Amino acid sequence: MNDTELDDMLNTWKAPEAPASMRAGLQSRFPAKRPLRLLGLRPPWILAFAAAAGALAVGATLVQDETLGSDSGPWDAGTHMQRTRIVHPFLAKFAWSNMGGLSTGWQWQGGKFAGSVYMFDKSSRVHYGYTWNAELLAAGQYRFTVLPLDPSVLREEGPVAPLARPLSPAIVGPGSRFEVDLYTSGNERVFDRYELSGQPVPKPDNPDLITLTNPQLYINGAFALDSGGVAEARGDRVFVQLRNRGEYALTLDPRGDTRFPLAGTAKGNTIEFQADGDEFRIACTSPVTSSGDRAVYLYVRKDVNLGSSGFGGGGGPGPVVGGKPQ
Amino acid sequence: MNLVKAARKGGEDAFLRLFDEHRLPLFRFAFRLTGSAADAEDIVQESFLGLLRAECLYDPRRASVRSYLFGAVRNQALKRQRHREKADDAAGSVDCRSPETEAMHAELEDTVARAVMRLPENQRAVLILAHYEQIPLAEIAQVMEIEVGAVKSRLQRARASLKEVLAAYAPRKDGYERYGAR
Repeated sequence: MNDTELDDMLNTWKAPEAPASMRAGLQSRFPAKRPLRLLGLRPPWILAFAAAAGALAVGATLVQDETLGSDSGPWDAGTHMQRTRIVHPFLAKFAWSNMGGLSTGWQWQGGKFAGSVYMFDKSSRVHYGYTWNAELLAAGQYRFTVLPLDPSVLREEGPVAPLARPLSPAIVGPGSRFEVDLYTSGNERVFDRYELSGQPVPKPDNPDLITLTNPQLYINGAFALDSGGVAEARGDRVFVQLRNRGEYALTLDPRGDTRFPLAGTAKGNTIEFQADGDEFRIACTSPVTSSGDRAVYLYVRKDVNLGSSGFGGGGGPGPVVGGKPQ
Repeated sequence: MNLVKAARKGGEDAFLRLFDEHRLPLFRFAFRLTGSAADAEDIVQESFLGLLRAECLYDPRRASVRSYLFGAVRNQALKRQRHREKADDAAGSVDCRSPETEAMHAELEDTVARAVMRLPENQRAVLILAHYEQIPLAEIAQVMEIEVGAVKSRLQRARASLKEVLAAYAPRKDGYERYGAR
């Protein structure tokens, strides 16, 4: 074999095209800018004040509550759980709403439901969260246990903060209401409020509410994102977070916030909108509004460095919070 | 401003420009070193992110950023290879397209891929850089941190080995035909 023949043979080995996801993946891993320190305040507070000022400037468009998001679903036919992620005080919510987060939902394993939730501080790369389980003792009676966050569920590299507040196992059932902390420092607190009831959680009577039930995202007709265990995400604003693209906040009523142009429609079980030249469709298993067909307004944030993709809901930009009923 | 310097100061645009300039040859290099597109993607990303780390040894006075990145890709690929439990199976995991209509061509492509993957790593890297990426020998020497003479001899050894291994697949008048057991 001569050199030319060898070269010809070597040239038959083609490398595949570099995937387009490589650039976006790299971009998402570009280190966040160093947190600023001004007047000795911690960054979350600076962000909180800045966001609060911005909210006033645009006409107080943000819901004045401490809720970041919520999810709900049945543990069994007579036990329905609602979990609400809350930040106290209210001003700190703006900082936490910019963080990533994850819920694994809950799975039935070995006689108990189990799941993990966390929030991820992109600046410090610390995970704040916990792993929990609810062991079935008798019909409608569970032993609820909180454990340190299982590191195997993490999607980002970074340490796990110790449990914010250890909780003794407790017997819970319909009528129980209890809280599990993700983060505490001074009077700042991020926690999940669990409420168990014998009936499915009634939906608030709010015509502007968007409810995404078992959402699936399609972009230009191609499947792009499953519910990730989110049984239901709802709020005045709901969110689709795409790790390599950004955050898409949707609302039925922008309340004068000019960042939200008209982008699509909510019709039946589906929301369709256009962004970045692409056609987005969120397909759900229940009507997305209680008020019939509605126009949908969209605010796209490209400046967020998301550690994961998913759906979310709540009064303000929220983490992925969800659960899968069994 | 130098793109690396700008990227290290937090310039995401500069970082992405740098990536766009070099990503294709680096990806091909990583793919041919590892035989895996998924590994290649990770390796290229890691190599670029390495540029931003404080412990990064890149020195623009000693080498171009391209040379540095090729070297980084090679190091990352070596690291993966060492950690791979089934190193012997690596050659078998080459991503090769094999459409039925091009079965013969695909078989040859697969054979070539396996033959290159079975070369000693220091010959394989030199061959890929020289043949597939057309990198000058002097720059390969920088990437590999060896003398130009050593590059030449490794390249010669690699090509000689390949000629021997691939002789059974040498082209004939009627196309590529396997006519002898190796």
